[in-house]
This record gives sequence, C-alpha cells and structure tokens, in this order.
Amino acid sequence: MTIRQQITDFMAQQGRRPRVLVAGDAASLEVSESKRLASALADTGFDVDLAPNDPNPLEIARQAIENDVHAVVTYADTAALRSELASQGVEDIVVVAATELSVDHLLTMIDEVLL
Amino acid sequence: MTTDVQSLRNGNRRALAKAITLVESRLDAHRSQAQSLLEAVLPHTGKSIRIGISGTPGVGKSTFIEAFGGHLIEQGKKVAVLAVDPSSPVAGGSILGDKTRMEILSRNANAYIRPSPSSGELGGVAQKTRESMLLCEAAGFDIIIVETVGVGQSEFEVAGMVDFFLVLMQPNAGDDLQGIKKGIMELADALVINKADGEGEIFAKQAKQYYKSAMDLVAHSGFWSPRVMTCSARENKRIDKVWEMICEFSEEAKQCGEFSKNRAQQNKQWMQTLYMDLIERKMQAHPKYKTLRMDLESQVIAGDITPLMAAQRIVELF
Repeated sequence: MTIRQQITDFMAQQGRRPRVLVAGDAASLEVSESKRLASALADTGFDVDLAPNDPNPLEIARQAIENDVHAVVTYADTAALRSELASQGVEDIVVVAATELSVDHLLTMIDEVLL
Repeated sequence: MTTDVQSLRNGNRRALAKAITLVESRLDAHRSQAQSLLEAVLPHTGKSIRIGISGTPGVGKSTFIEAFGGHLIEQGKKVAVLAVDPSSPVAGGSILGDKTRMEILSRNANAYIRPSPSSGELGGVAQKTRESMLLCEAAGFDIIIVETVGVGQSEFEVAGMVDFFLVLMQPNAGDDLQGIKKGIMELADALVINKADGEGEIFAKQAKQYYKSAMDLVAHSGFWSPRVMTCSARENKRIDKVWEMICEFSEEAKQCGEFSKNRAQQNKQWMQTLYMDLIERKMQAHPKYKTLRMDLESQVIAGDITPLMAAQRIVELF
C-alpha cells in the first residue's frame, strides 16, 4: 500500500488528515530545510503546521497542543520536547527528530499511538 | 474522542484544541458527538466580539493580526484567532504557516491561534469555523478573529458569521478598483489600508481618499457607515484607532439593537446552510445513490440525457 493510500485510510478512520508540526531552529539553513520538509510532507498528504523560528521546547509543546497535531518533527532536542509534553500530561503526540525522519515510519508511529 | 465540557470552560487549551478537532472531523460519528458538545456549551457562548479579517495574499494579514491581537491583549482581552485558509493549492494536505508570522502572539498566554486545513472543501471549512468560534467563546475568549484569504466564497461566508468585517487593502491600489472583488464593498464595515509607513504613507493617503469616495457610492443600509482608514501593522501605527473604531461600532450596534438582530439573522442563515448539508448527507447515505449517480454521470457525459433530467432522477430516489 502506498503512503497516499495509507493516508486515505487514516482519514476514513480519523475524520481528518494526519497533522504534523514541523519545528525549525535558529540557523537559516535549517529554516529553509524545515520549509522543504513541510512542503514534502504536505505533498504526501499530511496537514503541516510550521512553528515560529527558533522555538524553545515549551513553545513547540504549546503549539503542538493548541493545533492538536499527531506528531512533531523537530530539528531541536527531542528529549527536551518529550519531557515538556510529558510534564503537560500529553502522551499521544509522537516526537521525531527531523534528521531521522522516515515518512512511512511516521505514519506507523502515529497509528500506534492512536490505537 | 471525548471532550470534557468543564475543562473546556476553564479555558484548558488541550480541551479546546480537541473540541475543535471534533467539530472539524468528517466522520458521522464525530458529527453527532460534536453536536451534543455544542449543545452543552451553547449557554456559555455569544459574549465575544467576532471580527472577520480578510485581504488578498501579501496585504499583511498576519502582521496586522500580530499587532492588533497584541494591542487587544494589552487591553486585557483574551484573543482567539481562527484562520480559514483555502489557498493551499497543494494536492495533498495543506501547509498552515500562520504562526511563523505571528511569533509574539503565538507565544502569548492570552492568545489561541488555530489554523484550519481546507483540503479543498471551501464551503465546509467556514461552517466549521462557526462552530469553533462558539467553542472559543465557551473557553472564555473575548475577541474572536476569523482570518480569511479573499478567495472564492470564503469572504462571504466569514462575513456572515462575524459582528464586524474588516477588509485589509494595499496602499498602492492605484486609481482603479483592481484587487477589490465585487460585493466586498457591500460586506465591509471598514476598509483598512495597511503598510502606511515610509514611502507607503503617501500612497496610503491617496488610496484612502479614493476608497472613501468609492465607498460613498455604495448604498449602505443601517446605522453604520463603513469607515476607511490607514495603518501600519509593521510599525504598530494607528492599530489602536482600528480597535477604537470597532468598539464604537459595537456600542452603537448594541444600543440600537442591531448587534443581536444581526446575530439572529446569521443564525437563520446558518440553519438554512445546515439543512441543505443534512439533505445532501442523507441522499448520499441512500444505498442506491452511488451507483445511480455514477450511471447518470456517464449518461450525461455521453450526451444521452440532459443534466437536469439526471438531477431529477437522483432527487426522485427519495
């Protein structure tokens, strides 16, 4: 099954597309990098939110919660973000390092959390 | 998906976020849950001022909302921003970049910003925004800003769900009405010419004169004559004047009864929209609908049957 078909199935079950927050970092290289990544994810069928530039873990967590995303793909420290989310009682948002992102795997991880 | 009405009313952001996801969902099961949630919060809604903000891409909507929202928070308000963005031409999902241009507001504890994906459904999104607006009111937000790009029907739909409709304009619109869509002049309670800073200031003043005389030609019924003003969101100039104007509007509207009359009228329209929506859903749920429709479509394409006749055959199913 292609990733697009998987997303169609996801929509049929969840009533919306999988939604991902992409959080960049201060370096301008990573900002344009994160926009490219956002664009690629949207093309694949994800709804993508972009965080303000250079956000701290608290800000990323807040935006992830407010926009009710399924996952955060971040260039920043994943451990700090995970513990920030956990301290706010959030356990169903997947956190992935942008450098280790595999789109197929991302959807699988989202599915696992939702089960 | 469960939403705790009490935490929503306490202003819990996660509860609000989940509630908005619920009303946006396209699943029928979620739809009925959303309806009971809305019924539960309804007594706690309606106390905000609802402001629609529209403008073509590049006019500075996000910068304006950043400055305007910041000003409102300084006045002690709690501000929710709901962005309806039908302009994502991406084939799959959408990119919702709003917060990158609302950095200060997005970090403020008295602001809640929620962009909604359109996924190609222009009409539906705005209707869901109406419901999200009620949820934000129940969560204690005093000012609800609904942001929309001037594309398709979205402006008309947004104007039909807010108390005050503000259209942002470019200062260099020149001496014709290019860039202003037919009907927008009638919808707008104010035209605000942004980017009145630096060299733009002169152009903005000229544009103001121009739009003023154009606005005078449009017949406006009621107590309010639409205003034309200039501001600079980037330099935070005359943003306070925009808010003063909206306060003036809302006081006058409340005094003469138009405020509640307008909302009642909007509810009537909303009912009409919902009713059409329900009919369509009901038809689509009919077991024979899908095959009949596909069959009729190919007949129409082949030219064997007129579109009207085909449409009638579908309606006759019921």
